Amino acid sequence: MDLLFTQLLNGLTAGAEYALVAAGLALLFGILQIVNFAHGEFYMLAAFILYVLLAVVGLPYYAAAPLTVLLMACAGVLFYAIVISRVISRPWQIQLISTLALSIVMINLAIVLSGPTPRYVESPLNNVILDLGSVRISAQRVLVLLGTIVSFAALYLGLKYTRTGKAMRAVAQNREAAAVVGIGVPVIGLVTTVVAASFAGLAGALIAPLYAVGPTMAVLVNIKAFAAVIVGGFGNVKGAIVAAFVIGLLEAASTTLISTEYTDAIVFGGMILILLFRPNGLFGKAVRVG
Amino acid sequence: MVIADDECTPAGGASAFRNLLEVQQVDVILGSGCSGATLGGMPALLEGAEVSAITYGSTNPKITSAGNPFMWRMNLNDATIAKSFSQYILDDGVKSVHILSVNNDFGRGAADVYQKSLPELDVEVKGSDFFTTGTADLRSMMSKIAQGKPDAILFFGEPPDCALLVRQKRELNIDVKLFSRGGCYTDEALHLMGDPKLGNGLTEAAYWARTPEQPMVEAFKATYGDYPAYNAALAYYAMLTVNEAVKAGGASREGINKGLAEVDAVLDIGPIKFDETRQAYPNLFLVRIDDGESKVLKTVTTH
Repeated sequence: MDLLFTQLLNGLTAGAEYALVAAGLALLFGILQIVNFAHGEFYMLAAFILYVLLAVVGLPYYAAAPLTVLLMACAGVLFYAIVISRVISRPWQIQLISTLALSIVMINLAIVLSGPTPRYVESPLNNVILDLGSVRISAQRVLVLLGTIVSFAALYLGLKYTRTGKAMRAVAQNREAAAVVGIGVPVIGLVTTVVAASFAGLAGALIAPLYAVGPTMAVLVNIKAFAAVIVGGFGNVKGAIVAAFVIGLLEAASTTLISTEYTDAIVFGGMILILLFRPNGLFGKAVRVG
Repeated sequence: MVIADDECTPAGGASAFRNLLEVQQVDVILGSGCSGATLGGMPALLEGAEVSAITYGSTNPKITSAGNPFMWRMNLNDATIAKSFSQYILDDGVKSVHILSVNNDFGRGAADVYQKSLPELDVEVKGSDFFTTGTADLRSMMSKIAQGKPDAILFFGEPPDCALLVRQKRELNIDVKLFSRGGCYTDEALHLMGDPKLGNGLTEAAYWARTPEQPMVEAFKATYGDYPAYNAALAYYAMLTVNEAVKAGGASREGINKGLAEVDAVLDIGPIKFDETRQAYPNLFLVRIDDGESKVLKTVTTH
């Protein structure tokens, strides 16, 4: 029973990390129909910003973490101005190559600037271990869970009840029709990109202290985030979040019940199985073409 | 000197070896430092160029048991290390271990070796698990391992993975001994632990460690401001080994290959003399983290 509860918690915390990265990815696709292959590298950039603010500037974690999210929002503005706004109306092949190229450039730039050696990011919550009876968890991990819940609740409420959120949903449904009724599509594109980048910033600020900061830190988590977005129904934020938690729990379950050797095979095998029966993902809807 | 990036992967090794042989047309290859890249690259040595390669960091036993006449290894392999390290683990009072390895040629090769060597000494191997390098969360695996109540975890992985293991082991309050191969004792791993004292008690079997017998170490620090990484240090000794080979056989490709067979030198890390499988037997270093610092417990002769 102890192991079950421990692995449940392990699965949830891993799922929360995938969900934080997957959310931005799903947002960009869901609203702007752009697959951002550089999204994982935005998470890496956020982790490096956090490292610089802590280790170089000397800010305390509680100041550095929100500032990281803020700076990533600014990075989102730049990303929109330099990349997204230029490819948003172009064919998907150009969108794909441009974000893939950005991903490669960001990884290699990080290697050139910081070297391939990972760096440690200090958070005071890392050293606070909460003892919940038979289960122990670091306060930083609890912060990740809480941050995930709060940020997703804010995203849900924002999309559902604010004017900007409603406009974002309208653009997601039909970009041309949204423009016809007076919605500023470029502004919504900018807001969406900023929110997606802020989620990457939040992921970096919360998750980086648990691990290490390095140029390739996003590679594995990005693959899992992509899997979550695909399984959830490409572009469906709610679906991506649910799928991310399912992946985290599935990993913990397969580690416990089967073998760690097959964890990835089981997760991606499950993804294939879901897509066989639901080609549009768990929450995706079929679209009539033509 | 030309440099090729093997990306520490079999495909990267194949590409890097081909680049060095066919494009750069080098006379000798130092590397790779990774088992997977060496195993991926070494078949290219058989395609007529007659260029020798000397690995200084790959430990998978297959590299020298494959019978490739141009592949040499000047660092210890895992089969040799396991003979001493398994005995050390037994002598430390360990009756059972769980093996946790990175899922690549290094980790799989090492896990295979210890799954045989430990039971031969009546140390039970309770299980063996593998993780992908760069995996962020080892908690699920460690929770499962803890359930089996082994006396120790035997870990094979790179410094960042090891630091993660140590930190999450503390988080889960798993109180077992930790033995390792792959870089848990390095400055990089200690730094990434956050609090290096979290590693206290960990013992690593290392094919290189900083010792006073190596003036290169302090000279390197004086020049570059930091101590050399273990692969960098071993690459230096590999270069000295090539120098000995050139002295013995000349600087041609054929001469270097013949000269390597004749090398009989004593370097600061121990003797370098290759056997019929082109494997050398320098010293093994048993290193323990004590009070947040890596200290060489013992230097073991392996020849």
